[in-house]
Amino acid sequence: MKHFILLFILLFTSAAFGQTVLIDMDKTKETQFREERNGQNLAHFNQFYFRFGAVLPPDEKGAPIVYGTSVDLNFGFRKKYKVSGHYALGWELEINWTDYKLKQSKEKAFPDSTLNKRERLDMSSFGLGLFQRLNFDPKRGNTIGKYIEVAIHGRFAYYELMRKNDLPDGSRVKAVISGLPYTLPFQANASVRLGIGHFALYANYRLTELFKSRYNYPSMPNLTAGIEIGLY
Amino acid sequence: MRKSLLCFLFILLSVFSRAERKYWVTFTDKNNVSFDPYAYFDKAAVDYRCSHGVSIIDSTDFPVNNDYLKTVSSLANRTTQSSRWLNGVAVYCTKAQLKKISSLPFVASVKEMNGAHSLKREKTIKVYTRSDDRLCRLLRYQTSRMKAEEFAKRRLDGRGIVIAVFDAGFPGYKTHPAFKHLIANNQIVATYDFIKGEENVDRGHWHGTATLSCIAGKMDSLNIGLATGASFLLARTEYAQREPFSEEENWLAAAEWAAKRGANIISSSIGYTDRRYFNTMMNGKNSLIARAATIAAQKGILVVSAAGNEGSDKWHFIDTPSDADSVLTVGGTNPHTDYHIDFSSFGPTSDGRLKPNVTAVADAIVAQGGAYSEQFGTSFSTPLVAGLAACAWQHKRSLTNMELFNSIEKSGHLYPYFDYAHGFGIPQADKLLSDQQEHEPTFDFVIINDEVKVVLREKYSYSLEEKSMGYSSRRNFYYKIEDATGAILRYSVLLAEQKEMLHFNVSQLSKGETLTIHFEGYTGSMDLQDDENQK
Repeated sequence: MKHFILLFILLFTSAAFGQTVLIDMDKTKETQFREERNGQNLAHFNQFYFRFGAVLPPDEKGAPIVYGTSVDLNFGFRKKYKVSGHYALGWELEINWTDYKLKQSKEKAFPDSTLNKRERLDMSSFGLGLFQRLNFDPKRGNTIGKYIEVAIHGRFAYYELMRKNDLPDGSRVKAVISGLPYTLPFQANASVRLGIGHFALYANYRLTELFKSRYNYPSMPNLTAGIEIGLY
Repeated sequence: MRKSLLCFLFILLSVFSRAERKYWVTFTDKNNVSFDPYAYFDKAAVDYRCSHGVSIIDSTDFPVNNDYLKTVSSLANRTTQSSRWLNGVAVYCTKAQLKKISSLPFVASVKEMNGAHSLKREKTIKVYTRSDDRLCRLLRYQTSRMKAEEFAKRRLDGRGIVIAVFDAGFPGYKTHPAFKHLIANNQIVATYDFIKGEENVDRGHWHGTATLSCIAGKMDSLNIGLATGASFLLARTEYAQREPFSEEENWLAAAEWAAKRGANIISSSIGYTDRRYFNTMMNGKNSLIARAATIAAQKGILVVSAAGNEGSDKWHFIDTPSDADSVLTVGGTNPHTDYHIDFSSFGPTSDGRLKPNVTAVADAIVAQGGAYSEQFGTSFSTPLVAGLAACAWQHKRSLTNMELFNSIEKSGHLYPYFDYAHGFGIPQADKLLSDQQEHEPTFDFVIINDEVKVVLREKYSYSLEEKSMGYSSRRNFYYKIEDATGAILRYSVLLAEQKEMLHFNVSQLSKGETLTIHFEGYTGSMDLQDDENQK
């Protein structure tokens, strides 16, 4: 207590005399080693991340997909709890946007057989996930290191169907259909990630159906994969 | 499709987990090895050791038992560096192979080595033309702040001292005009690239060229560093853009090489932090490089090492090998303000020892590319002090490395005051050349009843006259509070803008604590709550 009174007095006198303090270091802040709790390889680690991936085959009969331009984007926040040098677990909140470009071909049956200039199904979702991480390099410093991670996610999704067509006069018309009656709002997903530091490869597999069974629609591909970049 | 994906994932996982890991294997003994110091050491090393009381027959210099090496090699996938000093070898092997190696009767210990990689951070501030006024002023200041002119008056330029510089490469050192005199006078004694395993070091990162210039470079008639007459051993131990653990092994191998070649000083602007360690591990005993630096000091070499540039980062504290007790750790000051530069890493070590030991300017002019540039970093403070150490050692050649270490600390402009930002301050050549004299008091503790005031003496009241690089050094007022064990509880630097600098009531302070003040070359202290003990 006395020490703090001294600090107060010294600071007060400095202020009272209008002095310029160039450096001021005190034990409680800077001159004492503290067991940090927040860090890449410490008890807690918070991280924002961004994922960019592609929708991968196979697709189902009646819903051919244009691969390459069908993409998967995620932005999220995760909190990791270290259990040991090898093992950690945590949770993550993320928003997701998956874009299925529907190939306009003869076999197309979803959502109907009408051929458009372009057509796509967009799925936006908000998800909560739980993950377990196994690190390969337990004797690293305060770094993320090399790891494999397994996660499961629950997602609440919102869907839109977009169509573009050219009119005979050369103009283009775009239709956005929302509130699709045949979609299911809840999904479950499983992911595997292989990471080095702030970078990871991920593969995400949708475990549940997208569409209500009574509509008997072919589903979209279950698998997406790509890269993840930890933002710090 | 799913099968092929699973296959792909399995292969990826196998690559990732890499059954093979890297370990440091230490042997129990050096039985049945032969060692001839006169064949192993260069003449310079033998002469130096003999004249400075360092034994030339020391078991740590004996070779590693070749049979042990062969046996371990046959059991491991491959081996890399072996070390005489640590009596061991680095091996890559699987867990099963490791089990066999561990069970060998001559294996004392096995330790897994961290393989973390990271990108390095470097910052070029400005590349100057020679006619630039700021360049010339800053260049003069980086040596004159250590009173280099006192060495120049006595023609002390490090002649006869061998300095080993460990860095990430020395591109252009053969052709840069800053080193013309070194090449002309054959002052580069030997070079070795410990990454490539060959002699050429004229490649890699410019950082080494820059640090070398801060020891011995010249820009026309102006010296960039102080030891323009010293001899040099140049070792490339660092990669440019990543930091694998093998860099620490390279540093160890380079230190053994330097000791063999007769190095007197190692200047190392290299440090490792959170990519491998936690700052609570910075006690000089945990890292391979700190242990190597300690052995180098035991061999009579003065190891000068940069405190690090993490002062304003979360890491905050010094890095390794600067955490080693026998390493002269150099922090950085700002030439414009003459006190701690914000990025310079702070002490103490994690076990509470004073670090850094001294400081020098960390905003310096260096040789880079074909030109000269201004660079920030304790990387440049370190060679400036290494150059000063060479001149001081040339002056008093009989000193041992640790005697020189202590002399350099005592020559600090703040000595006997120290804190965790400045150590003992910037070494002063005049103090190294002559017996240090007591400075007359520059302030008084005025005690009236329970009130204590610190009042500057009239002669030393603030003056704006002496301005060199902006602020004058005269105006910095240092104070600290230590507990009974000597640990600093608080330290500050104030601008001395009025006569009455501090004012407090002594009855409100804790017993056993000491208030120490440094101003204008004079250090005074008083034990709090014991006003009879004013020193």
